Amino acid sequence: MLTIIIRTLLIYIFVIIAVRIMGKRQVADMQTTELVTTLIISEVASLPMQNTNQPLLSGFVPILLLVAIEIIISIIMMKSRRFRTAVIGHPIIVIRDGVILKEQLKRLRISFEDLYSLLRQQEVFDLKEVRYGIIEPNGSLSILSRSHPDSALLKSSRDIEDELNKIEEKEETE
Amino acid sequence: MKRGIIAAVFLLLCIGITAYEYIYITVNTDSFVTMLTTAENEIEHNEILSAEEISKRAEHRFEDAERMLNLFLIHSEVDFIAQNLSKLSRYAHAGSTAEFLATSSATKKALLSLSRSEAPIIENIL
Repeated sequence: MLTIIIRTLLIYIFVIIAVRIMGKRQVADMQTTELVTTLIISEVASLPMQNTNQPLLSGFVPILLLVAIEIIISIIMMKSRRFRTAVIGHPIIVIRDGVILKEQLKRLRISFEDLYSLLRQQEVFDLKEVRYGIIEPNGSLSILSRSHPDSALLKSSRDIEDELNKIEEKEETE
Repeated sequence: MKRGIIAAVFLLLCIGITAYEYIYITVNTDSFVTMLTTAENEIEHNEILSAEEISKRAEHRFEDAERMLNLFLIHSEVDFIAQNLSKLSRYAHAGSTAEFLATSSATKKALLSLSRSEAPIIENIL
């Protein structure tokens, strides 16, 4: 039992350091790769914790490797937009000028109820207030309200819309 | 950039540990298998004392290697080999050729299995 206690402490400290090195994100803001890495690390760490027959290195080495891969992927994603899109996807407009874009919702497999729930969490109770509703790659909903003045944010949303239109045109021609 | 360097260090560490483990296990298991094969030949030719001496040598050498092997491998697998090696010299001393050969064969299989399971081949990966 003492062995288990010492192993648990060592693995706990090691995982804390590993996750700290990976960077700070709340679970809701995690990208796909970060979420996958965190889940796998927790599984891998638990094995030598419970099974004293298994060497600690069999837990430490995979965790080190996962953290290294995660950091490398995040660096590549910073440098390559295409890679970033391939790995985590891109934001998708689901509400435009108060109108829900049903096709986009269908594509994302999000129901109306889910969307309304996300809107309420953003304290939006009337669709007419919404100029743009954008589902981010991590699944959260960003709202640009009609009352918001023209700003760089709006311009970036127009860029998103332009990009979206290009993607749609490309999909149609394919 | 700092995180990039950390990632590179972690990768090198993983590769270093893996390479060291693979080489250590392969070299050691090969030498133990050779010793056991020699001991088997000796006992088959009724060279009991020689077989006993080789078995004892193998047992002591494995005790030295055991600590490092336990860092890398499942402890029960290492213990199984250690237990078998400790039996061999007693079987040789008692002149129990059949038990000696059976235990030696099982130990050799376990040693080869250890080194084979570390190889990055398709069967192990899948």
